[in-house]
Amino acid sequence: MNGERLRPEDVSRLERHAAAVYAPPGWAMPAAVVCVLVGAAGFGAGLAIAPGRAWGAFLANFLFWTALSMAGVVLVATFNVAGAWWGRSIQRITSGLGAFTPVAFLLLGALWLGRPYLFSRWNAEATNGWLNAPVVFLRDAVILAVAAALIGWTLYRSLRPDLGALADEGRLERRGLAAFLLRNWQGRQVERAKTTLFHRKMSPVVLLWYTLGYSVLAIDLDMSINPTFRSTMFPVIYWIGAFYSAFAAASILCIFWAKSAPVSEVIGQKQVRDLGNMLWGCSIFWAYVTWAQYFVIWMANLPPEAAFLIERWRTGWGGLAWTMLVCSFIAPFFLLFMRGLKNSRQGVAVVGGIGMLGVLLQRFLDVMPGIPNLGPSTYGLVEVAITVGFVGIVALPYLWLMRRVPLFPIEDPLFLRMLETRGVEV
Amino acid sequence: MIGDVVGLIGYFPGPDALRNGIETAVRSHAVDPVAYTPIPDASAFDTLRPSSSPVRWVALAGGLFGIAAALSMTIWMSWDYPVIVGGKPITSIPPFMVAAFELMVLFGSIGSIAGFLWFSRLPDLTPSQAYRPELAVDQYAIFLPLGSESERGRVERILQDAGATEIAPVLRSERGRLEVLD
Repeated sequence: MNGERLRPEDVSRLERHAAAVYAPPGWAMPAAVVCVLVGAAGFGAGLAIAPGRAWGAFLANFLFWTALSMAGVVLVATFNVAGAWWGRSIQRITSGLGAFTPVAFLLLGALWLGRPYLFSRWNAEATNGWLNAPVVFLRDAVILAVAAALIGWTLYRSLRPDLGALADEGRLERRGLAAFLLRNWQGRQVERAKTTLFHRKMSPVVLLWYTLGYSVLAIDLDMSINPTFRSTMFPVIYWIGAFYSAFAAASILCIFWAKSAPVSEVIGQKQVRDLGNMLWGCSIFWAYVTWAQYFVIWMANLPPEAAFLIERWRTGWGGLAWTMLVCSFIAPFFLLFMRGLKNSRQGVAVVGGIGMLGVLLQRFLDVMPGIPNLGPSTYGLVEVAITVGFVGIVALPYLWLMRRVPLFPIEDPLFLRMLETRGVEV
Repeated sequence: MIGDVVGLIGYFPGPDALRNGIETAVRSHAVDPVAYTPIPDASAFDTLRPSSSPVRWVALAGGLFGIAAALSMTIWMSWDYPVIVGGKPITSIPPFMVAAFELMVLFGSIGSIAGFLWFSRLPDLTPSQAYRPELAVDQYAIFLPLGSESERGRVERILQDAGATEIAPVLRSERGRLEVLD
């Protein structure tokens, strides 16, 4: 159907297929629980062997998944601000990741327990009052609380018209989450108009909070591991990496949902290629901002800044650093040159997975070499197990939410437009 | 006859018939078919589209030229007036990468545009071979060029098989312009 405007009957058929609540694959929830158990075991073993490693891996994963969770909703805000309709079919699939942010708020509390292993250099080396442990954690708790509120509000407004439409047609029972979200239901037209107005007003707020709030989060919990290192590009690299990962997550989640929902029908070839193009663009922009940080450090050659790079690229961590660069930029950049691969759902998902791994490794490289009293280039099964655990912790709230709501924004006018013209080259 | 027959043009009643016609012509190994549509028709483009566009290679060549030009320029200038700054070597690749990136983008873009214009045979300031004003209003047509007069029967059959409602020869005019005989 590439290159054709769909016939009205095909659009109606797709609309009917899209307008439903789909359960994720049956193996997903048990697998997520197993992942959490593996992570807990790995974290426990890590605490027994080398607490610094366990807390370092915890922090690196916390930073990566927390930003990814918000970035999933930021994609929706970006589409709304830009008036983009190509990505309407993937926006719910990624914005569901926002369900993890309240959990991240709780995990920040757990990080408080690990601060002796992670942030013990604050008092010794920090030169100002910014890095004061209670203030840092309070500040970051406020950031995550506001982020969680914005995500919750965005999801509420996005889901309400879709759930209401299904309930009005008798295809959904008003109980549980649906009943909660559909309180004071005012009819499809009014709710749809309210949602459009909400997105118009609040999407810029979501974007601003993401860039400003998560910049502070990156400075507080990531850059401060090395208290004497300062880089104004550091927060930018952090949230660009998460934005990149959100597109990568979308490509993987499309495969995840392919068997249990009509994903391949609703998300056409053109959208898959657009996703591949966005991944390619994000990998280039990630390299751009990373180079911008490196170049300034190289030019000034100041010991506290240069030490940050030397420690990561010229010591035992060098192998991991090169792997990170290959995964984040070199591999996606060259692989996504291939049109055939970019037209393949599986191909784009594989490249997305590689890119995501690269950004995760970057968080590890930010954190691990900076942990006090940790041996050089120490990483292994403990870190892998904790990462698997975080996959489970992120998956559980995601699956909980997504099995209760439609997978596609069926009441979004731009979603219908996307269906009508999904194969047309523009 | 005003001149040599350079091809045949077949008219089709609408976009679906045109698309079927293009598919038949392509299946019959017609050489260089040209489609005329009054409005852009993505499906007709897709059917006619060659497997891959050579424009990307021109863009790549432009980008590589940009990198080479920037590195050559910066390295040559640095050695032509060598000043050591901050203990850095005269040939310092990191700052030169900025110029290399910018010129890669510049010449890559120029290469893309130039390649697009070249392979699209643009600018085309005179109407193309079989063009006539109705083709910009409500007519759909396919033009098939003839390599030689002996091919005329085969090309005519292709257009007939493709479902053309009317077939007309396209002649080279005495002035060198190409026109359609009414």
